[in-house]
Amino acid sequence: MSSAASSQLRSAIVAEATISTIPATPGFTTLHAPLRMVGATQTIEGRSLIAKGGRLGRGVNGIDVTGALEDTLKYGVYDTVLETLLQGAWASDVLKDGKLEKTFANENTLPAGVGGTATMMRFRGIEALSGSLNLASRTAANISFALAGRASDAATTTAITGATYTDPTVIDPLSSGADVGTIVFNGYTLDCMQSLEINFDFENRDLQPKISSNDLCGITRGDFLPVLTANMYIEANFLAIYNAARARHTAFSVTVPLGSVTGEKYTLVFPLCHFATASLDMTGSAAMQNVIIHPQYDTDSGAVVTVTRAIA
Amino acid sequence: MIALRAFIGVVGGVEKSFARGDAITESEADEMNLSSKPDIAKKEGTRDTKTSKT
Repeated sequence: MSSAASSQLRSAIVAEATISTIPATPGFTTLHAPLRMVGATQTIEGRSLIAKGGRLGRGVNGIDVTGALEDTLKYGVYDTVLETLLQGAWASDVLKDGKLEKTFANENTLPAGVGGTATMMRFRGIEALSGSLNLASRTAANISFALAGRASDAATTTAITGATYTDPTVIDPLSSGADVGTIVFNGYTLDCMQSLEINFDFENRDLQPKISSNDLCGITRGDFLPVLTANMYIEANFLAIYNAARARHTAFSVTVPLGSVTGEKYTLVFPLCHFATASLDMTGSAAMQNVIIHPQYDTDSGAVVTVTRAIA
Repeated sequence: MIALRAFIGVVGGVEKSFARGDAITESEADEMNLSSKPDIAKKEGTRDTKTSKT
């Protein structure tokens, strides 16, 4: 029997209605890219004089569930993960960052060798602790998430009764070219942009271990501190941003439209932003302006970022 | 019921593949709770809101 290939993995997720509980008869959605979940056992390594100081005895302190997801952005495929990242819920196709506990479960199924019995590894109570969206010229729009879960199950060959698995309907990745609309820094005329990286950073998203269990009590909500990094060519308009970043300046909004298919577009709006820095970079053949933006909490929208989907 | 799209379902503890348009028995539909999954199956004779004319 040949060993299993990593491409034989079926990685599927389902949103949880009850945190850390896989729904009954779950309707899993399979993913294009693997959700690389790991249940790392935290062991007690026994040492003993009986063993003349060597290892003797073993215990388990708990099991840490962590993971990562990296893929090109495909419309709609990662909306469930986005909810957990921003700790909000889609409402009328709008998602704002908040402090909700949104979680999903993951089932990774791998055959035990080619033609072997399907074996399932299940992880529960998963949230994205941070993420990024990277737009760079001549490349796909790439997303990544750092994940943590509250619980995991022993590997099994027993399928969940009544579970269903459907593939995502959207297969085409978004590019950083024609699939990105006009990016707007309200109040500024922008020179050509070579790249824009949006880091959905949090501080204090900490695991909450507990006694009497291998699992977590929960995960702290943390503080949402996103950072936008734009690399722009030096053209006619760089001075305004350069000087604004040097001084107190009026807050502005940043709008990032994604997608080019009707009904399959996102718009990200950071309504209240300030420049952190706008330094010049002469290390390459083209002189560049490296602009770092710090979005802030906007009291009008009640959020730092607003994501809208299904835009015509 | 009729499958609206291809999917895999666990029926009787075993995975079974359904293609778009496949008939699904009542017991299979009950086991997979398809009444709560309108995106993948519909009752026979009901209109598919995604394709029917309004």
